[in-house]
Amino acid sequence: MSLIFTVYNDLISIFRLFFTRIPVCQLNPMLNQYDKAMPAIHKNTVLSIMAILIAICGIFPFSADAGGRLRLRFLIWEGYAPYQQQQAFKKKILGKYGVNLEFAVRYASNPDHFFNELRKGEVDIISPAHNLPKDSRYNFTTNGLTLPVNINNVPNYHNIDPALKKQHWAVENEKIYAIPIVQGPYALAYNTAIIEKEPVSWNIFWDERYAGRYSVQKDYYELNVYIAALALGFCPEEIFHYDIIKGPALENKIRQLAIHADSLWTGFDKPVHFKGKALATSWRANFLKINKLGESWRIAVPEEGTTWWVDTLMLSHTLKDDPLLKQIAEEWINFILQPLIQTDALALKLGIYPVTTPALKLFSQKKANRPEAFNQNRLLKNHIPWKLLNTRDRNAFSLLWKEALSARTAIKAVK
Amino acid sequence: MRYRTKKFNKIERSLKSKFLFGICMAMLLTALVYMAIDYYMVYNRNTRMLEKEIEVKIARAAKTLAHPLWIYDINFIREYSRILTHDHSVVMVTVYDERNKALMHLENSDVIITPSTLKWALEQEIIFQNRPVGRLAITFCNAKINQLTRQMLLSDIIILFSMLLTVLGTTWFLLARQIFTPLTALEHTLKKISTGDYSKRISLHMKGELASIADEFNTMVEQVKLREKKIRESELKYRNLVESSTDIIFMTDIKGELLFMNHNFQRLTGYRIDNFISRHFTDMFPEKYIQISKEMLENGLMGITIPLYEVALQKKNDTTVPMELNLTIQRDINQTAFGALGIARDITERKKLETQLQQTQKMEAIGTLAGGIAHDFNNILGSIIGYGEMMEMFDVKENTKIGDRLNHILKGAYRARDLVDQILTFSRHTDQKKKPLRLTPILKEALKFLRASLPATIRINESLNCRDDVVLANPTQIHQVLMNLCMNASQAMAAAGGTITVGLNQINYNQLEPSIRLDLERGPYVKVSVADQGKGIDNTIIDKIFDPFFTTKKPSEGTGMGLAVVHGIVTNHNGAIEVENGIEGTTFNIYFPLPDIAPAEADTAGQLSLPAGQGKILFVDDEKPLVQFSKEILEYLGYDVTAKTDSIKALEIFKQAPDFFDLVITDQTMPNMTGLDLAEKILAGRPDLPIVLCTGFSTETTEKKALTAGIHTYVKKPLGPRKLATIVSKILNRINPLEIAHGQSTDH
Repeated sequence: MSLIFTVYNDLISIFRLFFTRIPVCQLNPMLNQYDKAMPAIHKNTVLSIMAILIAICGIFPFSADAGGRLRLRFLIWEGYAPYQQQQAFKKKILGKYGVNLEFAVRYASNPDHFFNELRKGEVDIISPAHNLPKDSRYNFTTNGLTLPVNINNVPNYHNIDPALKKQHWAVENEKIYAIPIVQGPYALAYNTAIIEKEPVSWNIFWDERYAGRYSVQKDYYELNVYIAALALGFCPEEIFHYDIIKGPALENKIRQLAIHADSLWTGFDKPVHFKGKALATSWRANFLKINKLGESWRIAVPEEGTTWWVDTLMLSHTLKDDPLLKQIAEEWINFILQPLIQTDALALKLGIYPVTTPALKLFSQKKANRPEAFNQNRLLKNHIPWKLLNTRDRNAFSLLWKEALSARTAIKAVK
Repeated sequence: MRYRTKKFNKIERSLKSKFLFGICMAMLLTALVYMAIDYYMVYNRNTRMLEKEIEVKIARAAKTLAHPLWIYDINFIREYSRILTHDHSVVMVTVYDERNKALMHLENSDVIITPSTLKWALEQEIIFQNRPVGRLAITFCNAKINQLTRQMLLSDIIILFSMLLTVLGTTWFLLARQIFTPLTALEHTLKKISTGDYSKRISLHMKGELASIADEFNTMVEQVKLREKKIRESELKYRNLVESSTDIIFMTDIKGELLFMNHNFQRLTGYRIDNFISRHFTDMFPEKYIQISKEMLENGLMGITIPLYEVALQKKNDTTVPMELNLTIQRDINQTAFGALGIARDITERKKLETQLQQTQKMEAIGTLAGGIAHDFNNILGSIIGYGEMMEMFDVKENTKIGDRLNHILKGAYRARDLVDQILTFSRHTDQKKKPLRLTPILKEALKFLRASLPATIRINESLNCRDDVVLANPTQIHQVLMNLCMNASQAMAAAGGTITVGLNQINYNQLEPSIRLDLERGPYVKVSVADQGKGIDNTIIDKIFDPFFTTKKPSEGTGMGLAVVHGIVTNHNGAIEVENGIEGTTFNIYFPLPDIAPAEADTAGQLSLPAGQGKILFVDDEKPLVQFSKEILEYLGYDVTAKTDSIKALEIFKQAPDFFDLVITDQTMPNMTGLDLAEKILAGRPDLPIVLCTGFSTETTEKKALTAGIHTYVKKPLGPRKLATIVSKILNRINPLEIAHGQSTDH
């Protein structure tokens, strides 16, 4: 009882001290006066209050506001967090944890964007391609910028296509850092209105007839090197090695590709990048939007093969101290690995491919009666997954593309 | 002194300046030499070092770039290339990859290449893991070495200057404390001393050499002070000697150009001395003296003694002054001539005196001659006048033919006697009695007489303004002087008429002209002046106007003795006469000394008498007529006279009865025995016996000798009856002999 009484008196004293209108400059004298007038505040009382406050903070993480709201920040490629799925997931979280989940979604423009935001700590989930987690430029899995995913919270991970599961680019110290969510090609797209017959080689980009009538990706320089190498006849295993493919022929090929491109698109390819052109490169396998606008674009499956990407989701280090949010993030990964979401909300909608086996089956079924189905099968059979590039190869490819862009800029300037 | 002070200051300033200049120059030269050597060494060293370093640099850069180039880390390559180009020795960096493509090409814009810049273009193959991945081309230059060398040099110079400034500051501090401060004190004291303040002494409050110098200097100042005092005294003495001299003293250099002249030159000539300094000394003289003066100087420089010679000094008013020049060559201790000293003496007065002396000697000669002749004439006239008057008194009745003829004879004799008197007066062989008398009444009486005899065209203006006009003079002679001068003045204005101005003034000796002073003694004088308005005296004859018998008149109009007599009378009265001759007339000024006699004692004129008496008189003269005449006169007047023509016989008679005679009258000039010898012999036997010694030609010596011998009265012939009667009467009545002698002039 005496302890309770002492704590009570101390609290009363502290309240008086903080809520009495005492000028700051007179605080110390007042404290001195207080020391004289009031009994000393017991140290144990202060320590007790502080412990209580810390405990309260631990129970209610800071990411949640006073009313139990959580905010999950995304930096992903456009379309990877569909709105409807967001709402559904929110309900689920609210029902499960009683917190209102808020989605803060921003779209990435290039791979460096992920790295920069992670470094700044302003993102909780990113969607890098499979070749980035262990890219020497970023080293997401080893530099502490990302967290391993608790597979227990992602039961759908077990449904992922075995070819994509537990790949070396996703695992570090037996821990899985990157969960594939979608996959797709860096495909050769052609306007059937201009090119009636499907191109069978990447060399069509260097066909004089289509010079100035195509658009290629700008930021993923290595992809343009790949297609140039493929066009030169290098086999898929060779295109990722600069020392194998290097030479004036490759340089000239890349330079011509850049010079004769009508436009260079960035981020996610959009209809505007295709309109009126004969050829293009694209992340997607179908062109619903552009074709709805009267164009007739299809992907071609070159004989040399088509390079292939697998986009993953990785958890930011910002979730390290927020287990609930991390858990919710993992549940989000699991959520979008559901077959219907994989097919309908992502693959079909974006023109790309799911990564889980059930989804792939479902996706095949849903695409069976579509014209691009044939190509899809051929594409999947003849795809060339991107490989993790060493620094020399990446930098060399970057250099080649930059030289090509410089030549393009110079020529454009002359014109 | 001023020059010396300026010179001293100049020296002192230059001493400080030299110190400062020397130290600064030493610093500058040291810095320049150091800069040159340092620049050369640093430049060469840096260049050599660069040559060695560039290979290391490019090798190190190639090694550094190997991996980045292998992995095409363009950013690193760029940054590293940029870092390379920051090297001041790198001009250009080019990184080639294995394709031999220039991945990076950067130039160092900070490097400025000049023709003298050395460049080294090096290439280094870049090998990574034993495989060439590219090459590095770097162009090095030493352009920055100059800048670096300059910077290094600048820092070295700053350090050097700091050290030098430290050394300089320390040196300057020590100099200022040990030398300049004492020197400043020395300077201040020297300035004071140089201005003549020898009371100042140097006090340095320190020890050492400068303190010793200061002590020695103070001692020296004491000596200089003493020496300067002596020099000043000497200078003052010689300056006073030079400036107080009435001579013109000048100094020239050996060329004869004037260096110095005393102020007598300016006083005498009216020219400023400054106008003659640096000019040839002969410029002072008229043309005719220039050549001889130059010759004298040349002779003197050649060692020939320069005699005194006469020159004339050119005055500003175009007149000249006769000078006697003593020109002597000045020589230094080595007997080398360095100039000439000239002493020019004004000989104007001497010239006048010479002329006057010549005149005086001439007059003396004439007087001596005339005196000798007059003596004989007086003896002759004595007999004529004596016997003539006896005949007139005893033998001839009045209003008869014989009486008339005798009267004519006597008049002629009187005139002859007057002429002889004038001659004797001129030659001062007369002994006229002088007594104190006032000149004003005499002059007025004479002028009154003159007015009656002068033509109406001649006016007389009296200017007799002298209260103290008593002089010791003979009134007759004063009367005669004025008469002669006024007559001459009247004759000078006879043609046109005019005014004769007669003045009487008192004048002091100092107011007299120097030439007049020579003839006079100190004391007050009265000046009697007679001025006419005639045409003046011709300068060619003015030297002869006082000569006896010199006249410009016709033979019948004058004797030529007028001015000669005046001259004789004035001289006999211890006075002097001067003539002021001009075109507006001539003025004769006569100066008489003023004796110390009260005016009340003076008479205006003498009284004439012919007293009789009793007594026994021995009369001796070799001239029989004169003896007879005198015997008759004296006996006539009541005296008992024994007359003898032979002095020896007369002595024998006297010796026979020495007490018989009451008075002896004897002539001086007699054969066998002179009157003086006779008198001495008589006085030897009877000392109380009065003796009268008569002489036709006497000198002062003779008179003094006679009086010394005991002669009672000394008289001058001729002795007329009245004169003889007066003398005898006074002697026998025991009257003072001097009064007798002075009173004899009243006798005609």
